[in-house]
Amino acid sequence: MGQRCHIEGLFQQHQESLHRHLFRLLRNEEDAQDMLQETYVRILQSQDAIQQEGNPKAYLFKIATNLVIDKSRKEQRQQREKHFSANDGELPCNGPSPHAQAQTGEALEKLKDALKELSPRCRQIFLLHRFKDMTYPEIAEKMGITTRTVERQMSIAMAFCRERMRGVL
Amino acid sequence: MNRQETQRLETEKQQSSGAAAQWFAKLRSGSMEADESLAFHDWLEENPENARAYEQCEQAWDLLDDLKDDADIEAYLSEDTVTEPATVCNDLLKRLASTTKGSLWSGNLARAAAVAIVAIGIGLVVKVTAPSQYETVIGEQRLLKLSDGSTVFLNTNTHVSVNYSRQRRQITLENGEAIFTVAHNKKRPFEVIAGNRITRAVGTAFNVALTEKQVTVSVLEGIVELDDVVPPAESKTLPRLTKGQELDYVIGGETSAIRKANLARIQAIRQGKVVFEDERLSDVIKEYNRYSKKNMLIGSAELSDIRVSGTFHINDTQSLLFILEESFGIQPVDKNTHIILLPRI
Repeated sequence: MGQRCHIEGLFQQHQESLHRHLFRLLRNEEDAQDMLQETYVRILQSQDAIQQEGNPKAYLFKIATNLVIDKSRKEQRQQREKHFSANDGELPCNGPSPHAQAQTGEALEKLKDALKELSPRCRQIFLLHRFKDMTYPEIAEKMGITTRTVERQMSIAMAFCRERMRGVL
Repeated sequence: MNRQETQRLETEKQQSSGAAAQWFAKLRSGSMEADESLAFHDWLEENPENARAYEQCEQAWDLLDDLKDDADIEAYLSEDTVTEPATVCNDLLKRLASTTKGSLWSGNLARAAAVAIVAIGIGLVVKVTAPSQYETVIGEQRLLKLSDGSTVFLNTNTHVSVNYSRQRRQITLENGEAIFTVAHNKKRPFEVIAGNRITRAVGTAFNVALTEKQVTVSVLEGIVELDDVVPPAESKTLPRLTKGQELDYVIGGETSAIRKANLARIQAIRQGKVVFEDERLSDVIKEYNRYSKKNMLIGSAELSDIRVSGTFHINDTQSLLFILEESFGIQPVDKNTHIILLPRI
């Protein structure tokens, strides 16, 4: 019981910054609230682990961040499944405004240019992860490189894309 | 703003940019250690430019989704190394394998053929007249998008066969539960067969759940009409359901009165959630067991009548157990193949 109080105190102490952190990652209040709730349930479930953790605050953020990662991964997979089970569907017409579309069009062109300029290896790593749902270890094994290299190449590719999209994002 | 100041801001921006991509790549690696997570949090808080830079990485990543069908991307992906056939091929293979078991359509030939069909155009696959089968296993959910723009959300342990012709769009619910969102087309009625009856819609959304001998039809939007698969000798007025209504029928038997549907429950299904409102534990467990191969059993009659409210994610047994333990004083005993719920002593 005392343990539970301790956890609750810890949670409350960091709730605000945790919420801000989640909101930043999720960009959506409802999702941020859900994740906050979920984080709370998780830390209650792993009371023993948090007791042993040298830095309980860090542990709290670890749980929250990894929940966000899991969620985004799951959503991406669902997105993909939706896409691949589509035959030649006529999409419902509630898309973005023409202006927003033109803007997206420009951003997409820049993104394509950026991809073209990347080294083939870097590009392939980036795209395998993006479009084939391959994890870093899977890519590393396939290409005979370390997961560290995969991560570094991912970072290079992303930095480059962002650079090229300056002004349109 | 003086030049120095501008320069300082510029450097800061560049630093944020490099670090943002690094954090992004780190997050995508799948899991973060405690110290890293905190460092990430601190970095985000440190400077608004950092948060903005990170956000832009996410935006670029999201935007990439629009390129998924891009020919260049496909070409890049098949550079140098041999890549796995796309998921669509695997899906197709599975479907082919299930309709023509053990024939030539296995192994490499099927793979080659599937790739060829995809290359010619997905449109071709749709024209195959044999009904296509789609299934989910226990705990799986799947959104199926059909050629006319209608969608079928398959809940856990569900099997449908889709049979589209020029005159009609017909889907048979062989097993389980599915939410149908129908693209409007007056000339081609959309029909769902479950047991001996047909639910017919023009443009609407509805849920059909088949359990053993009984079917429940609930309407989320629009109107549906219930007909018999074999028309009866004398004509009769067909029951109609409008938004928010629901009814049950026993296969080959009676139809219930129309009642108010629990739309929140059905909508939650699409998010992989199950909602309970003041329901008996025995009903909650029954519902839970639909989604899990490892069933729960109530080990003591006194627990059956406990009333439970709440929401759980279909693949998250731990949270449900946790709530049962913490809020209801229930002791779950994990028996490997199943979980027995007992009152805590």
